Amino acid sequence: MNNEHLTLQVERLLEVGRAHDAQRLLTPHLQENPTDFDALVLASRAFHALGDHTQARALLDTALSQSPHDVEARLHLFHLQEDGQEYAAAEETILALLRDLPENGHLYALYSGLMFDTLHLEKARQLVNEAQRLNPSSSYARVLDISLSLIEGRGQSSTAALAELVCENPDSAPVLYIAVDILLKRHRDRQALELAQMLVRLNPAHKETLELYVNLRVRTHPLMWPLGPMKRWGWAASVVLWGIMMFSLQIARRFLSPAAAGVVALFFITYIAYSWLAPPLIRRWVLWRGTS
Amino acid sequence: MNSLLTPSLQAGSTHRGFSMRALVWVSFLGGPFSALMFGGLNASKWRKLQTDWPLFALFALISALATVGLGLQTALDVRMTRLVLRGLGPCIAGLLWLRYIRSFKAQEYSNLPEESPWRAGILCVVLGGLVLFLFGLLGHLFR
Repeated sequence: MNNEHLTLQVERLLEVGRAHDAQRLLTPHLQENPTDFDALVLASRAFHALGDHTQARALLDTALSQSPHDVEARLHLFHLQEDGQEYAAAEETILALLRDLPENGHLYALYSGLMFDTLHLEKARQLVNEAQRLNPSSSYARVLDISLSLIEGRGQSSTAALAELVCENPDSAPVLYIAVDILLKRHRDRQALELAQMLVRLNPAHKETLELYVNLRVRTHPLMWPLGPMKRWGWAASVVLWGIMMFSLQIARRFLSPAAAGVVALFFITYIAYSWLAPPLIRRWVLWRGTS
Repeated sequence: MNSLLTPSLQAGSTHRGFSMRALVWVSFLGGPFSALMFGGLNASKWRKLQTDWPLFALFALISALATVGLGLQTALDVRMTRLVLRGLGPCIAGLLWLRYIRSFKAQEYSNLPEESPWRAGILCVVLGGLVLFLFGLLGHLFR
């Protein structure tokens, strides 16, 4: 691209998630210079951000036909293939990049992410260790390390590492999203809500962030307290509840009276009805409070 | 290091397993053989069946012996037999969860597309129920 200023402007727009504006800036430039390599890659990134995978791929293919060894373009191809769930092709791309740049820790982290996504956990662990050896400060490698530690059952060390990572990157939305996700999976709803609040402040117009925030407000509402076991253990709590209900009914029927069994049944039915009705009603209340 | 840079994926070979919730429902409704069939499907999706088949064979043998054994018992009433067999399914589901806890957790983080468990689940409940019935019948005939 001839105009350096335009390149910088488009890159900045893409970084802050304003892909529509980036595309609007690039369109007239590409009409005048349809073979501009940098503009083609940036336009492909803009279409990718807007969810138009086909157009993004077509533009990137045109760019790669001009310069098939460009690292940035191949990295973008990897992301496109990964998002398009062409996992085998994405692996081929990242392996080719690693052959060209064998000391690049970020590439190992990206490969580890791909292995993590496709449930090759042992290989993901080995790759993330290598990524951290080559580039100890890589946020992405650390996020993967934390996620893998959680799966491996090393919760204590992962929580400490997560706190450190969030402290170092308080304005990084991707890190915060991953942190919220990890906290949710560890059932730390209050801490997840605090991070979601930070995310809303960083990006107040983002619908998914607002949705996440509302969901967390519902989960942490005091009226959700009786449903704590259901939130915490999900299906397992339902199974145990069913078992307790059956057992209590049998005990009440045999050793007390049919009336006592009726009271026990009524208690459980009320609880089950509450577990169905309360979350949507609390959600409505939270939304009403938020908009009024 | 070279092994790290060896390709692990083949086109169309990457699948997400079914959820634990689906496994619990299938095991509860279909019994131990349904749990093993559904758990076996998951293991094959996670490429673990080739190494773990002896575990499945062992669970299948235990389930078969338990079903035939309960059929042979005359002291137990039908209701109790049903209860024990119904309890055996979730027990096997629990053991499979302990074996594959990492894979279950990892797929919660994964972006792999989720396959609907309905078709496989219903098939496993029907087939597992049929196997359970046949083993129960075998025990009953030899009573």
